[in-house]
Amino acid sequence: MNTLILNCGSSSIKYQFLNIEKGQDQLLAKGQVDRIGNEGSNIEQKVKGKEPIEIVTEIQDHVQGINLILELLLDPRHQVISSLNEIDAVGHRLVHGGETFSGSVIITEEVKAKIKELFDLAPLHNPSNLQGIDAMEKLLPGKIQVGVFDTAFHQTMPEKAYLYGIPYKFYKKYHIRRYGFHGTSHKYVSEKACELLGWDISTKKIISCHLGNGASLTAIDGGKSVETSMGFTPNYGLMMGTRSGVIDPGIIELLVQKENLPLKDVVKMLNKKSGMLGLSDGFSSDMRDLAEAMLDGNKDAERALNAYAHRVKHYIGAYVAQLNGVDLVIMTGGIGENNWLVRQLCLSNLDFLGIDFDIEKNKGLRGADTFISTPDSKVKVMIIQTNEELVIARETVRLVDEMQK
Amino acid sequence: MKILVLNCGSSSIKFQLFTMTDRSVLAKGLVEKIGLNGSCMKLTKENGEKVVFEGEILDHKSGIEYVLGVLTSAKHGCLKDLSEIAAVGHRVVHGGEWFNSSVLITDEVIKALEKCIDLAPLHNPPNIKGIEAITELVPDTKQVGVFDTAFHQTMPKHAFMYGIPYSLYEKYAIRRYGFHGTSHRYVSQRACEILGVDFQTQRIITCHLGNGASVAAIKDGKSVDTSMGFTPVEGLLMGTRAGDLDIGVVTFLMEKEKIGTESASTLFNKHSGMLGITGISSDARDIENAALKDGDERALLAMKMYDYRVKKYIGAYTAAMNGCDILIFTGGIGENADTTRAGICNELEWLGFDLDEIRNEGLRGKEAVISKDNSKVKIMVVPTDEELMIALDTETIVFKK
Repeated sequence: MNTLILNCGSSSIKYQFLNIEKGQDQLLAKGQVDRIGNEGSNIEQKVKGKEPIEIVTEIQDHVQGINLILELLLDPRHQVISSLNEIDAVGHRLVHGGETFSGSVIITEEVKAKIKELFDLAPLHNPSNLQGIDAMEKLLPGKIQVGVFDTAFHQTMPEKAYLYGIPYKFYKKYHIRRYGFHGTSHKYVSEKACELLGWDISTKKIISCHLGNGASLTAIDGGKSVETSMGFTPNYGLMMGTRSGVIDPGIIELLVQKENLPLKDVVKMLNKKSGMLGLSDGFSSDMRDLAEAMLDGNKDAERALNAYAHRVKHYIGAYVAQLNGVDLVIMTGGIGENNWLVRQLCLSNLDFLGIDFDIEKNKGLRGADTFISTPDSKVKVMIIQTNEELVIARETVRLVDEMQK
Repeated sequence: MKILVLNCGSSSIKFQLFTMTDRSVLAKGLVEKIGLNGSCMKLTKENGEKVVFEGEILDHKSGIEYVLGVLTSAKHGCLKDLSEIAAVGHRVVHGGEWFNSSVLITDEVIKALEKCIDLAPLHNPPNIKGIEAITELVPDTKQVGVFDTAFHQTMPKHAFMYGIPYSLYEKYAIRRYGFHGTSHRYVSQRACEILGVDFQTQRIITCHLGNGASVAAIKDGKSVDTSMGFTPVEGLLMGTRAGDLDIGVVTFLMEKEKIGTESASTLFNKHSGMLGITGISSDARDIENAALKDGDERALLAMKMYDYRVKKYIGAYTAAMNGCDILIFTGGIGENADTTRAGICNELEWLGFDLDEIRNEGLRGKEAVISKDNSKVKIMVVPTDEELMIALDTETIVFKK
């Protein structure tokens, strides 16, 4: 079954076109629309073994953007499809499913109304996600669309884990609680690792570390998420490229008062100027730059990376305590998969927890599904390359199949 | 030798008078509602007799004058003359990055304390008032400041920095400070004394669970991490404080409820935590009663949340120190609430924490080991005594240096 997978942001659309057949899933094309509504808007599409196609043109909205995607899929230079009928279904990455969605869904009017109700919880993401769905409806009316939520996997967290220590009425009134994100990735890598190990996931305790530009850890007990480090918003938990992660709420008060900044500017600073960028005193938000600089003796980079790793360690320890043990720790995401120094800082000196990290094997390793613990390590440690689009495509096919049964 | 220990809050003064030779308490008490209606002083004498004195107490100076007067009075006093007080030790909340240990109070020290007011606007001013009152009333008596933050000054940078622009650390000294340092220091040293092990070689996690609550990781005699942060609101769930909170929640609530930063601060400091979740009380005993006797679901939930957060910090610090030798419970809840200790330690044996249910059950306010004999980590209850620690520091600094 051919699926078009869309990830619609406020000014960009990432897409992949995948053929999902049991045992031999195939990526046929991938691309990205950028700078929607801005000057220099463009689209680029890549197909294996062919020259990429790039077009710079005015793209005013998501309808135009998706229209261009369909045109490029039909483009004879890439020959991905020869008719739009070859697209069997469309899958969307949707950020926030609130407490309404604990799994993937076929998009209906009712589902769209519920996504709208959740705008308050994800004001930056859900509106653009919905624009993508609406655009698709306009361009390919009647085509089956599926929504896969970033938050859905974490809906199994227990109450004691997802509630904040604030008056309970705010949970009832505004649904303020921890939701967690990256669910699709955490689910994928935990299942993939068990598949590779020949393990029954329902009997295992796993901690997955999705370290990308955004970053979160999840504790997975018997295949279910029981705890994750992101919260009500994605700016909770770990430090990230430009996000602060958890800070003392008292800091917000001080900044508003001392810097005389409006609250929204403080929030912006904590999301865009903080994290690794802030802690390295403006050196870089990019872990590759920071790791290279740290190896060259740059103190700003070293401080930022050490603080980053310290937090990751905190969460690993906290989740081992919460799970009362752990069988497997997974590193994934752009940084987890590719940055050996960050992995080393996060995972060495944890032998009391049964984690015996293989420093030599890890060094220089990137982009491979493999072990980075020593053969004797009580707890296995693996790198697993995440593939959120593949999960969305598989979920799309699963739901379409179910519907057609 | 006699040492007076003072803990001056915004509208209260706690005091204890020690005889240092046997560390006994000659008198202790509390001045309440300073500058408010119904101000009074409560005294507990050495023989346990309690006396309440009512009268108008307008400010800290008159409060301390009152205390000194009662301590030297013929009827209720225990001193012939104020000159018997060899030194005064003050609990000071915030020493910023200026103080990493207790200090003899000098004009310079007072200047530095004034610089810390920005960091602790509620606490440092009354602390300073207390010092100034003593200077005026008994000018020749040496005074020592013992800081809540000082013990945590050994934290490494990777533990005390927040993920915010570095310039904000340089400009406003925004960082993790941690509090309850005197308590964490006292109970960790005391535990090593009891066990007969060297404080300088142990990995210790101390849980100070009172109305305020914090966990500290202590490695080789030094605090290396703690759960309270720039302010005491961070970390664990507390009586009325929220603890760890998504900044998105802070800003969402400020926008939706149309409140400013001050009201938000009040919300997260005074109306959150156990009180906020249960809607019943901030008092752990009330909540436990509601949960266990009346089956109140929200109270039960709050207890679970409380235990769970402590447990996560224990795991986090075990990871950060790559192990743990001793886990200590202290503070009003830590010393007395066996159900809370059991809830925290439940299913932690994979990490080497194996609580002995029988030793734990019913144990209140006593020094004891409550882990099983074969537990990899020793779990202990050690009642805290911050006042004694302050008196000991004062004695050392004034007379032994």
